[in-house]
Amino acid sequence: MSGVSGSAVDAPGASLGDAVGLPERRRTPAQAARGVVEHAARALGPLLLTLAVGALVLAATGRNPVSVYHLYLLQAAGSWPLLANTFSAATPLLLTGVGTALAFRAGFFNVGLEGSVYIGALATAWVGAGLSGVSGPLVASGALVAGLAAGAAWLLLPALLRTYLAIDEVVTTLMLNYVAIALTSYIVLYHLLYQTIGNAQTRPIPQSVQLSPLVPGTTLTVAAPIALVLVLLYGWFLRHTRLGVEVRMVGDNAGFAAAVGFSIRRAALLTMLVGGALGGLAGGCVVLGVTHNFTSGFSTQPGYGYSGIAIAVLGRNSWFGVLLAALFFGGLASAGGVIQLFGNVPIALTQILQGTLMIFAGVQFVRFHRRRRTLARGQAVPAMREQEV
Amino acid sequence: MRDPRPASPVDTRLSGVHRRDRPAGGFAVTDIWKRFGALQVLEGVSLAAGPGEVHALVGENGAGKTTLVRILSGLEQADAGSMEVAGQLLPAHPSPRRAQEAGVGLVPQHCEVAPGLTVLENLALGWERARLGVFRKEESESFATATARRLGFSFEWDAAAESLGFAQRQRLELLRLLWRDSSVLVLDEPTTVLTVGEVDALFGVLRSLAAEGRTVVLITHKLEEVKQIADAVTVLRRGVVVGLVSRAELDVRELARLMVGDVSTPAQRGASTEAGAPRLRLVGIETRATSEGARPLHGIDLEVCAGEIVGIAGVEGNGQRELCDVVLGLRRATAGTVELDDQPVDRLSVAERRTRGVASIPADRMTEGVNRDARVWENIAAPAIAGGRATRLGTIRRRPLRERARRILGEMGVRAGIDAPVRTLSGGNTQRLVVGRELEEGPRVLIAAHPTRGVDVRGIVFIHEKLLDLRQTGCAILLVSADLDELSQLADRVLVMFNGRIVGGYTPGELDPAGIGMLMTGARAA
Repeated sequence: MSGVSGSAVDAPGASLGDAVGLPERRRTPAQAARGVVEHAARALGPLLLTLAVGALVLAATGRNPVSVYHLYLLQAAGSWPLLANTFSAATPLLLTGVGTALAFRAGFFNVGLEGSVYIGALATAWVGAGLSGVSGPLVASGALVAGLAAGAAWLLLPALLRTYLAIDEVVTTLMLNYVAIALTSYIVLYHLLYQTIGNAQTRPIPQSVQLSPLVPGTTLTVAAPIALVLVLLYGWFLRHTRLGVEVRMVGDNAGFAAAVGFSIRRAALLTMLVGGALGGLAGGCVVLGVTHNFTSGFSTQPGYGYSGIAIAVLGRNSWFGVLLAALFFGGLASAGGVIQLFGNVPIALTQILQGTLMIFAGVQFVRFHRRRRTLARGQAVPAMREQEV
Repeated sequence: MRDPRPASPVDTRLSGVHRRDRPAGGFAVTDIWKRFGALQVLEGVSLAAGPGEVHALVGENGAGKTTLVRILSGLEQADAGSMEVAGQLLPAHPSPRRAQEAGVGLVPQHCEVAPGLTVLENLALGWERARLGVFRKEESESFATATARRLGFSFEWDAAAESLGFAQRQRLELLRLLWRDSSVLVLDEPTTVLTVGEVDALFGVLRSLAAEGRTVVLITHKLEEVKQIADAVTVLRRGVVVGLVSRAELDVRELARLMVGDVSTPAQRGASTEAGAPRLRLVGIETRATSEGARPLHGIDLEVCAGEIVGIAGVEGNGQRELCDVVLGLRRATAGTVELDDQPVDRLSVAERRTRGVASIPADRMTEGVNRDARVWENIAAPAIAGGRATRLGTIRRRPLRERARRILGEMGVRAGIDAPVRTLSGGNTQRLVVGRELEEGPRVLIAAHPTRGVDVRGIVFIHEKLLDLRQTGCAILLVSADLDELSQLADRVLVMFNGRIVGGYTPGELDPAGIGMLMTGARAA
């Protein structure tokens, strides 16, 4: 496992295809091995540290870390239905992870997918429950498209501010998350309220519009393969399309990208809007496949969009890394609830593990961010010229 | 021995940063071996220089010069060999800090500054004069000012370091070595970006530092400079020392022969062709100053015809970079127009201008010339991909692009795989890659900014021939260079920039260096 992930995150620009498919790579086996180990260490380091912290907490509270972790593993992947639940929990995370990774790869710190998740979920719930007299799958598709569009539209403003006025997207997108959470709560409460069970909820999605489980008794729906395909598409997009190369070149070295004719503005708009769309889709998939309505404040602990940031950072913006990180988070989430019931392990431990992982991801994020500041203030100055005009 | 360094009000009292008991310079590295992957870079290289000596280290690109001094500075680890500085043995793999403390100081080829810090903070970085952990700004500044004045430098200490031009960054690096009181000063190709006057000034400084008992090691390609300053020369070829020559027996032709194995003849300018129709015209270009320290341009009028090379001379930082940006489309003018083939292109993007035949060899190849993280072939293919000339329905046609990259590497004599990250290429090979890429699509207008900076003798001849060939095919070339010889060899006429304006011009041979220097320094209008 570690070897595979190592070469896959051979960022930037490199990925699995080149590592195995092309004979002319001139690296000695020793070099290649060292590279793999280095990448694996960097990718898996936060994960191992997190498990170590969790083990300390478990040992301190008189539990055996090995048996608890074993229990986690069993509950996350011990049987087909359990694995299906893990995949189901990972589905929105795959989407937010890849949506965040896309912007990060271009060097833009779009951390606003949490907001897109809420807006997209509400749009999907509204369309999904509001249309009648049309065939179910058609409504479902329309509802997902509505979620996608709403998610993208939500980030249009920060994208434009970033592109044309060079206003830091970290601040605008982060703040808009809170606006989105509050705004959707307000809309549900005052305009779309159906019932209040704990939180305000919209009218339920009709059975015919809901995404039906692929594995009976689980919440694994067609959304999972869609998310998986989108993650694979992301890897292909970066390597094989003009826009994908643009994203990478702008992310690596904006000055160079501008000088050879790539458009920094286009990369910023594209990655932030598509990221928002993926966030909206994630929210829509949760509504149609899991909750079957919009519940205000549904994306908490730690939030699909925020988890997406951790997943993108831990996955180092590679498709494969995002896949692994999303599955790990999905496994934690799906196993955590069950273990609380049967394993005498409080859900708090799952939250500790998630939180610790976010912290270590945050450390990498800060390192990344610092590099970006260096780029923006020093080397990538020419890239900014375009935006001053 | 009398301490030749001027007394300073601060140093002895402070934190051991300045050790007054440091013996004079001198170092010896013995039988150094180093391998990078499959490439044996150094094969038992030995190099020694005594106190007060200026020692030149010459060799082609890839000969191993930079690797050798990086090992001495602790930035690379030798596979085998021993190092001694000022009579003291260094550990086999010293940390950079350990090497610095032993007295080794390196001025790298590409001088970097820490952005966000002031010039003074950059100078002190890592070796701050502090008491109880508090940076002593006043004392530091007075020492820095005194040292700078001694070397004939002047700095705005509180300015943002990233606003410094290349020559100033280099002076800052040199000053930093004195800040650390280094006894062995290693300069990696320090003159590549300097004008004639600046080189003379630098050499004066190096001479006086050597006279203080320090050892100066100078890596260079320019044999005339070797003749000018070196007490002894070590010639490196493909990782092996092929010659050690003292000043008395120094002969430039012999050095060149040792370096390259065979002496190439300098490029000969082709017969002057009839200049064709104007390809590039700038009329009344004005730009404004920007926050990052761009120099505003004022009333730039310029015309380059087909089959013509127009040189731009000037001290770096007088608007040459901004001029190139305006032509390429990276910077918009606030007034005036840029025309290609008599068509205004002010509103066209970089990609659109490139599609119309504009190509650019940028001054700073590491940041604007290549994406160091991407692969060689992607770097070569980038303009074609950006311009949509290598794509089908938005997807990249990889096979032809990879083939083309392979061909260009062959033509340019770059020994590297097309899948290697550009990061792994040497500076000279990187420049060859950039030149090969920009010439590949048969440009109608070429902006060539310092196209041979940091390239070895053979590479210079090669690139000059390429430019002259291109001129024969009718390309209009705007050649920006700090090297007056290069301009004289290549340009049909030369314009001199000073302070954002074109202050004069000459045809090669018409003005003597002194006259050009007067123009470049604003001492005289044409």
